[in-house]
Amino acid sequence: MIRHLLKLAWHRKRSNALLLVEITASFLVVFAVAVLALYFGSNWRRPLGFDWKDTWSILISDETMEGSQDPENDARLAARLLDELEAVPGIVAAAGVDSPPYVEWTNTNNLKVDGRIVEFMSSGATVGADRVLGLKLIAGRWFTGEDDAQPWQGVVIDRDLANDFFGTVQCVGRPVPGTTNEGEHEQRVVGIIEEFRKNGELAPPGNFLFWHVSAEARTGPARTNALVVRVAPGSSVALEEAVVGRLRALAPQWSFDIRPLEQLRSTRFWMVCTPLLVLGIVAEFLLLMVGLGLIGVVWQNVARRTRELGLRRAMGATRLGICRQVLAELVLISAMALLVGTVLVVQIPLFEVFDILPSTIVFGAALLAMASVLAIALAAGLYPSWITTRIHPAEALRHD
Amino acid sequence: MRSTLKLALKVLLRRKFFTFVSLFAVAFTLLVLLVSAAMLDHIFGPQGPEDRPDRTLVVLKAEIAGEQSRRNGWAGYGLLARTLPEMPGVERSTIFAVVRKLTTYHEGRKITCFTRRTDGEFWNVFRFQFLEGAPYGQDAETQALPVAVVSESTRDRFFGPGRAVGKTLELDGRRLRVVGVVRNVPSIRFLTFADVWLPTSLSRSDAYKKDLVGDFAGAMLLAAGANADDVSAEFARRVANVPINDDRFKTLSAHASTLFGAVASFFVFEGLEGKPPAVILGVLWLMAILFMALPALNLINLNLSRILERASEIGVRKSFGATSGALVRQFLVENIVLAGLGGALASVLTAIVLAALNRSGLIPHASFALNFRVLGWGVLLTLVFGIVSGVLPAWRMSRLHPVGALQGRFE
Repeated sequence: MIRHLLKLAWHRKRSNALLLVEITASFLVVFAVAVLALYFGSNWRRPLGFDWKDTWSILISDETMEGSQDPENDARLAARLLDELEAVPGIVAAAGVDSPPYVEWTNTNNLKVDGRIVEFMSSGATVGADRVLGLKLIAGRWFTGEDDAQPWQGVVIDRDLANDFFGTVQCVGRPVPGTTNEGEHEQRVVGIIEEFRKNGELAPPGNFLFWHVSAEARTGPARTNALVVRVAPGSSVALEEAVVGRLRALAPQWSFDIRPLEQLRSTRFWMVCTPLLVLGIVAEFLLLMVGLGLIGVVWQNVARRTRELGLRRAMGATRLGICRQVLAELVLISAMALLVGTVLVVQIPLFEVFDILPSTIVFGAALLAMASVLAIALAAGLYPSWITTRIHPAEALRHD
Repeated sequence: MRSTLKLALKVLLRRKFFTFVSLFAVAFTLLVLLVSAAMLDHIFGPQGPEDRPDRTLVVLKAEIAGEQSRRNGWAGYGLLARTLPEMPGVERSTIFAVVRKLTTYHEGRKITCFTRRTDGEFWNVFRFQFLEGAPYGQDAETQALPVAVVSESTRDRFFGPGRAVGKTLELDGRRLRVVGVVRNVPSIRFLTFADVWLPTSLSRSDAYKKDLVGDFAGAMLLAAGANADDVSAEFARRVANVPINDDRFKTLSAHASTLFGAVASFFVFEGLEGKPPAVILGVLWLMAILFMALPALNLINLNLSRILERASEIGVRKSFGATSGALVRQFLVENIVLAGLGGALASVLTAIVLAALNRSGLIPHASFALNFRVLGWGVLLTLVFGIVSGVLPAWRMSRLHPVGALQGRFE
């Protein structure tokens, strides 16, 4: 049967070739959208590692890029700001963090460990930042006052980074690879957290490292770029105004910008989702168009072959058989197009063109795209193939 | 010609399903392209404050690099202040900051404003439409006067409709007196857009004056008859002479590029900065044609199968002496008529989509509109689409053998 259908398709290879190209192109379109959807979907399902509800970030800026002239003074001032904030009624806890969740900037580092490059994001953090952000410690502890007196700088890393650095999460007290030699100041792991996905739910998983920031510490920078504040549920704009007023009175040379994490989160969410949504709608209309076009092509094709199909009916083929033949021809062409498309798409994981895409997503998207293109082809073939069942053999044979 | 057009309409009316599918394909494709064109026109077109793109050179990015570290970002004030003034061939030049989001509390409400610090010349290089009042001048910059120009929507948010000049608003702990109100600038015009404009010198410290890389941009308005390439070359020479007082860095780089190139590299592709507009337009055309490929293929397939339906008509015309050229022309005209109808439909739909986009507030102060430039692009794209999707079927049609076609044999 299939060999016969292949022969039929080969006879009309010129018109089928263009159809093949069209279906392949549709496959690629669906594939691209499916890859994006699966990619963001799989990111969304991973644990986030922090709690964004009832939390604010307060960005501190001082209008220069080069940094302050007087870091000692800045450090003391930043520490005072935190004490003052915690005294404000309505504020549960406050701490300093360089890159709060969802903000646009990130500090990215590369370290060479056993010949591999380990990439991770990092941020300074003060005592108490784990409580404000709701970080889950799985080993060791968060920064405390006792880290101030140490000659090394304490760091807290997430589970993935611990595995990348040491191959185990039982690494509390060990120095961060590469920081012990060449006279660089040593960093030592004091705790491990479950996860911290700073860029939010839609971002790919990444490694994270917090280093200790404190006005009293003998190592590292003195203040953080931003503060994070946990507030009582249902806090109003009036509290924001009061907080900014108090901060400004203490540090008139700095600007303060309060952003509830919830607001930053929704901004980030829409920044990713809006283009995706537009792409999805456009792709959907393209597919609808292709589907309608296919209906037209198959319809025309069936109408032209009335004699041939009528002859088959006269020779004893059933209605269902004819219907099946028309659909099978369509599916055959689609299958060939999908084969071509899959061969193209499989190159992505093979050549590691985009190494951020795990191959499961590529294959999942290819499967999804195959299923939807086949579904469209079958749906487009239904009406024209139903028409064939109305062909009367005697009339068809006289037809010209 | 008239008979060809008449024939085309008759053919379209004969098979309504095919006409509907084709129209749907054409209208939808052109709709997407027209909406994109309107957006691009909004970004690149000579409108709003940036109304002299051919005479404007801008410096956006700068980079200092050493062996171990490099720092790149927007240009710094120090770099621009040493290179822009008294440039030969330049009528006026301005240094202005990148927008900063500031939050203020006004009568118990939280108001977020994009603020931009500028010098007085900014208002001469870029021409804003003032609804009331006037811009602040260079004296405001040199004396650090606490004044501000606000946009129409900002005025409404602070004071409600009505006159605002002379009133004061508090922003980031400073009281500013409003001297002018301008029409809203869409946020997509990222060089000039802001809610509040105020003098640069109104900063709490003047550390920004030393920065080579920072958060400023510069713009130069070329004198009549000046050559942009000469000015760019002179700018490059001046950049090379700027001292870098930092042992970690050795080289400093920054380009003066046309507004078009700078904006294109910002929005479309990085790395296009400094490329001639023709290259950028080429890239945009390539993207448009790639997008049209699938709908065009769809239409080609439809048309090809329809030719066979019309085989006997073609056979008759051929046996009565119609040339292949005449048949190709007839079929192309049919296809272009179809594309034209689709294009008209697409224009209407585009207007609706753009109005919805403007109302949605997705892009602040956006006012996408169909103007003659965009419609011109629409006509051009319609023609391209009609021809691309019509040539192959027309050629196949003209090659049908008359005898075979009359007998109903096709291959």
